[in-house]
Amino acid sequence: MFKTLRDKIFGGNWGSKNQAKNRLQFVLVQDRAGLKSDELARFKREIMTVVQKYFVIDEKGFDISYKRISDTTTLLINSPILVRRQDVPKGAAVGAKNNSNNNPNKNNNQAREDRKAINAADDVKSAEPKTSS
Amino acid sequence: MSSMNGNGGPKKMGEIIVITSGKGGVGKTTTTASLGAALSLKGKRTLVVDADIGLRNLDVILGLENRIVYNLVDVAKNICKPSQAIIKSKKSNNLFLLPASQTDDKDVVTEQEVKSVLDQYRREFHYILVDSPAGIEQGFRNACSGADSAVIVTTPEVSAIRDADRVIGLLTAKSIEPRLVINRIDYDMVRKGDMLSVKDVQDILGIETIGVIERDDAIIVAANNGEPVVYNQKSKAGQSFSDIAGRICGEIIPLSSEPPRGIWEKISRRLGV
Repeated sequence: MFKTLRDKIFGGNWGSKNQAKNRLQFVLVQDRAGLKSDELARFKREIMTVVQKYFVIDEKGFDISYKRISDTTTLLINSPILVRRQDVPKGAAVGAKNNSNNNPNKNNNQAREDRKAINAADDVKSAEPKTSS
Repeated sequence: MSSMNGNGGPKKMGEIIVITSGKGGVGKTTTTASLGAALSLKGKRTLVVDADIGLRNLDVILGLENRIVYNLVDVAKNICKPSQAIIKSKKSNNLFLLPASQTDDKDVVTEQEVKSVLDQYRREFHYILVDSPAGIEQGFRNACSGADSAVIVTTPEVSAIRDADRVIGLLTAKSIEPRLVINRIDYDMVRKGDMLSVKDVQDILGIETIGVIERDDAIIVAANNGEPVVYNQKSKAGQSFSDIAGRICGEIIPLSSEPPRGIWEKISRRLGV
């Protein structure tokens, strides 16, 4: 009875199983991806950079994991979005890092160019023409 | 061949299931012996095969260690006829053992040789359960050859789960469908937060679960006596293995949830403590 009282006060994280779960998830991402840990770190950074071309994200919350769902393994990208990059008002400082100078117009053009390239490469029909916001 | 529970519809003969894990010591041999016994009690003619060449154990768990004349390697090398190598179990007319050799190592037979051996028994048995050695090398590959599906045994521990995950990947690549058995669950530890729960393990591994076995002293006693634990009607583990055998036969048996708590825990829960 007192143990459950203690768990209630301390939030139930008293046991070691949460450690086990976190460590397993970390280890399995690497095992499943078949990437060495430095490759995996590079992969994460590169994906984050691509996402940041379109969105301002919370970098600390950004995570990539491999999840198995029955007979397929899926890459899951968890990326908390703060705001769409094209919604940032002109001239305002953009929170996340980007490698161009601080010119929102240039960012929008760059984003459009990137989108065109990705659509062409994927052979997907292009998105509806977007009006700049 | 009589069937105790008619579960409807003709079942094809000779379904080969490999019991594997990656990690050693998690309960493959116990699971193979117990499932074999449970299936035989349901009227299914079952052959259990020890594929752990050089480190045989299935014979000991079944109490048949002093009846071995020929083994898997002898059959593979045509030293004896297939019927000469299998040993009928002590308690079940439906359960047979094909033992491993104790003096060779795992490279003495190839995958193709093992598959040919198993093919010779397919027509005579409803189920052939192959006890795989630990690891992912030649012994494991041999054990998997010819398998229609697999049972992956894991315990709720970090190292076992990690190895099971790797094996699941390898089996999927061979198009062998894996199903999970979680062994040695201790619900007290789960409640205290010191052990991964059944759901935790299922979420991490992401494959269908066909059974959960609680830690049970009766399993050790059964091994001491050379009698699979399913023959012990009072044992929870024995009941769990019987349930798994039922699910293998296509019966719908829901996984039992955590056992009910003691009276004081129930009261303190209700008080919101």
